[in-house]
Amino acid sequence: MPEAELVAAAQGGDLGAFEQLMQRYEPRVLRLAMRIVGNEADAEDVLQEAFLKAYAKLDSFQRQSSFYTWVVRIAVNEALMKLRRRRGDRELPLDQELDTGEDLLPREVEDWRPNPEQQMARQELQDLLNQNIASLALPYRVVFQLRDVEGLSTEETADALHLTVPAVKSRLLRARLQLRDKLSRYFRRPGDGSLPAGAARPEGQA
Amino acid sequence: MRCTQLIAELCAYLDQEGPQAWADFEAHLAACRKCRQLVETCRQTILLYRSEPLPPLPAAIHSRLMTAVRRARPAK
Repeated sequence: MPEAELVAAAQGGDLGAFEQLMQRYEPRVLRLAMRIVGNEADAEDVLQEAFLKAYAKLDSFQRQSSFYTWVVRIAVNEALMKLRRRRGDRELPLDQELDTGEDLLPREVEDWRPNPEQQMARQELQDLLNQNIASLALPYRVVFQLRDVEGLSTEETADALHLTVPAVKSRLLRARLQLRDKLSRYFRRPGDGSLPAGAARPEGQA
Repeated sequence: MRCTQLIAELCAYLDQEGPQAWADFEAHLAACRKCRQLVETCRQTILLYRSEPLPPLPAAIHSRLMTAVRRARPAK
């Protein structure tokens, strides 16, 4: 059944329709929560809180965005609150100032071997992707997850995180560059990228 | 275009966002091997994450969730 019909039925009190909506998006919301809070028990709590809240507020869903985007916004909020409670912080952890003035120009750039996804076993690759995204600072990790994994637009990401569009763009660039750099250690072509840092800077700067 | 300018526009280029024409960007890419490598490996990074298979949700988690939702259901 199309999503709009399921949402309309769920808003009319059909619990079965709501369950179908949940089943469509539970795995993605759980993965998103895992990426933010970092452990399975808290991620399951976030999943549950997000869908309970979505169910309670279903009448207020205006269908201007997709149901998934709406649930993601709720889930991100729940996950950040969970982190804040865990850390005992008063501020949302996304509000921290990130611009350190660091040079964005990567010091080493090199070709990767072709088909990096075929260079290791599926589970090994998955562990590598999980470890590397987990090692990003939270503000970069959340923006990358929403934009590049969940497929939200820049505006939807800004809206979900209460950030400006330029802040989302800046964090996405840094997240992508950092992840690229981390993955390059595994996928670079043998014999490449071994130049001294100064010599490996991109050409054409003069 | 300098390498630093290319990096500033990297996301817009990869996402093909905005009204920009990419002639200057692509002219720089054609002339600069390191920037070509940077753009290509960034693209591969994004692709690796976009093509992650989604693990199925354990049935027990769905069932705990449904129990909680049923409990929260308003009496009609």
